[in-house]
Amino acid sequence: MRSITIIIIAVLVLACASAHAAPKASDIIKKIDFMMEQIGDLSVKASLVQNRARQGVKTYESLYFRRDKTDEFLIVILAPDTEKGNGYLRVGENFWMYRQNTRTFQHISRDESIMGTDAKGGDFEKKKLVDLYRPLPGAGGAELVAEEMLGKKPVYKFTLIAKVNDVTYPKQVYWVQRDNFLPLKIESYSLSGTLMQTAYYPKWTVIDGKYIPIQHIYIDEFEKGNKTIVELSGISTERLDPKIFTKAYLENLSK
Amino acid sequence: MKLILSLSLRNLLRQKRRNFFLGIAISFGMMILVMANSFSHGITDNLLNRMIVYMTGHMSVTMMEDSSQNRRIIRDKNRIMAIIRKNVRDIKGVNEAVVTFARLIGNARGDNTVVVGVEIDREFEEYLRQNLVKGNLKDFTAGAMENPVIIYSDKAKVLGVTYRDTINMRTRTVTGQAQTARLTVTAILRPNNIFEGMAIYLPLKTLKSLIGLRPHETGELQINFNRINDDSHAKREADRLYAKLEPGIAVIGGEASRKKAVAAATALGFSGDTEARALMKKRLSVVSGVVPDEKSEDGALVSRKLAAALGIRPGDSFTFAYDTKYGNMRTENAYTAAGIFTSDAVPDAKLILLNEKTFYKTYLENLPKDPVAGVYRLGKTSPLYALLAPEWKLLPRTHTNDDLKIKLANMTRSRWKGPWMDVRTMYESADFILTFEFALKVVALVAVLILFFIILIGVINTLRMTIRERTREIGTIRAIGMQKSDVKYLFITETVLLTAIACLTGIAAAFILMWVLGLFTIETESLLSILLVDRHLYFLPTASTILGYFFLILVMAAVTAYFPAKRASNLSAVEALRHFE
Repeated sequence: MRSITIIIIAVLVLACASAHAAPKASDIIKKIDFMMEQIGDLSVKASLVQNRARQGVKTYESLYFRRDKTDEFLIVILAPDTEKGNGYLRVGENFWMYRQNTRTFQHISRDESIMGTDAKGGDFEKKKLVDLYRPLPGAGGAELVAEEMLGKKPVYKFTLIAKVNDVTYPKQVYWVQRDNFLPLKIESYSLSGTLMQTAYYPKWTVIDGKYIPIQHIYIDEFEKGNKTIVELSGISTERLDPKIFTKAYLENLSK
Repeated sequence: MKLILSLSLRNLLRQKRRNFFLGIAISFGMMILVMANSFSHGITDNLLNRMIVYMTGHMSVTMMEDSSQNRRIIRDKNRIMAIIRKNVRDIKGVNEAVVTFARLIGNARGDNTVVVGVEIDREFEEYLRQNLVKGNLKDFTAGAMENPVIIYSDKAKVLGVTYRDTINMRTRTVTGQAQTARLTVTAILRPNNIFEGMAIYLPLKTLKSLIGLRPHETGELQINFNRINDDSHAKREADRLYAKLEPGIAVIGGEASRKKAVAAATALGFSGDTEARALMKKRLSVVSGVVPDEKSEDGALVSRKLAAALGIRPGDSFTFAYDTKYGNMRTENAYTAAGIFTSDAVPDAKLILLNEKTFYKTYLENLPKDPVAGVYRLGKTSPLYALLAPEWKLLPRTHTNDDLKIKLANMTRSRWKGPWMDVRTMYESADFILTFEFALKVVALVAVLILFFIILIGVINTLRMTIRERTREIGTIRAIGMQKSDVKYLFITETVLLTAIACLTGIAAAFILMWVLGLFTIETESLLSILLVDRHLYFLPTASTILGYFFLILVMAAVTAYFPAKRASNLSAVEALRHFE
């Protein structure tokens, strides 16, 4: 009788423990990928404020259209005036930069800077986190996921390392909100292990049941004083006209 | 002829003052022509042989992966170097060019830079010694300091660093990953021109390691020739090397295994473009399963022979392992058989066909040992040859900077996954500098020809005056038996002699003036520094050009003198003797 009681207690303890156990990091990143995949078509107005030490503040504004199904996106620049009317169009493997003053499309590679900012063409590609990164295993080979508080929010913290060699940051540390798996903070490290950037995603919105981060803050940890804030507005996830992802559309906008 | 020559010389000396002033005008024109030419040639030489050659070499071989100009990696450095050394003539040296852009953070502020990997040879050491402002060159090579770096004084000033200070550097690896390093300043140099100041030097080995290049890899190979300023030689050798760099089919010889079955097999890549796929349908017969998708990460087509040996059916996974050429390693990859094929072209071969993406991913990262016995070799005549992935693709040779840009834009557009190879010379990549020099020369020549036109009008005028003054003398010499032609040649020779002496004086004056101007030290790090060498104005006169101009001006003088001289020779002796003013 006594042994049966011990077994029942042990089973209950294990059940309680498993009910409170943190999910595996690999499952969390699958959930993040799933949430991002749900967005589908997206149109948004993005405002980017870049604060560079000793160089002052630069503001960029653009319209961003994205269609995941066909791997297409279009960026139309609205500000500053020197860049107004220029744009970037990606259709499948092709990526063009449009110059309004010369009315020309130049084929560019995914490594090239967008609008002279730190963002590269490749950053806008549809990529799954799970294809690029894997969780950093602990001493015993198990995935390490810590439960912490980020401010007042309970989060899971885990480290990812690159599976492929063409990602910008070989190591990233994620803080993901426990109740809905939204990434709130990401630290990015260089190959030699130096903290390069901390990204915060403090504001999210839900549109048609899809989570979209409406404010991104990027702190340059290598060169202190540099900060970039991206704010999204006018978000729509309604189906986009396929004509948007054409050269003609971009040209017509600047006529 | 001797008589005419001595008479001409005597006549020149008879009218010393007039000829002296005329000679000065011609000398001045010649001096300007020589100086202008030497100056423009000096600029070109400075740009090409003291700046661009250090960036590009006289000739270079580049390989770019993922159809991106930024991913410059030569995976098998030794092989390409051997091909270069065997086929290119008059080589002074073949150097690894490893260069990356970086952001530096010093004590004062940040700045952008170009990081150049260097191996210190005697020539470079001499350059460092001549320009060393502060520091110790031994610290750079001793290996005792963490990431030793040599920087120029203006960069040190901007960053607020001095000898033995540290600088934080942010850069990217060849595959685009963020990389950082702490550099230690071991020497500070004085820049000779605006371009030098932009660079910093790191030991080649250190830089390669930082940006993710392994010892057998490099960024670009640069070839320098013994003979400089010979663009035709460089272009000829580039064409020659290009012909020798024809790629073969990329082949991996290894072992395929499934469960306990093992068989020697050959892995090949197949081209993903529409044309190749259409050809594939004609030349291969997929007996079961499908051809793996272009984006597939691990799908493979397995030949029926290999499938039978390993018991593979579509959907089955298997491994393929092979020995690498460098590092004494063995690479093992897992694939899934998407389909089984047969082909009359390769009936008995145990082949694994992978799409380009999957194939090059392993082939480039882990170069296989050179094909050994047991590897299936496909000849150029094989019907499958055209659809298989090559070791690299050669970009067409281009001869101007504009064509080069178009070629690279086309390459970016191609999105091909394998490596592109390009052979170019600095005379082609920087052809605009040669065009610039040509334009400068034409401008100088036109300006000086206008000057000479004015001077030669003076010559004609002087000659007409001389003939008029010497009409009775012409009559006398004609009366004592001198021929008409001799009279004509006498005047032409006088003019040519005067011009020759004046031109030689002008050339001498040009050399003296260039020497004097070269004595002044000019301290500038502005764009004007392209006119300077070691902070002095730089002129580069060339014998062939000076001789060319010399003879051109003599011919012009002779032609100018011809008509007045002819008129003088046609005078009747009687009329000339009667002439009185």
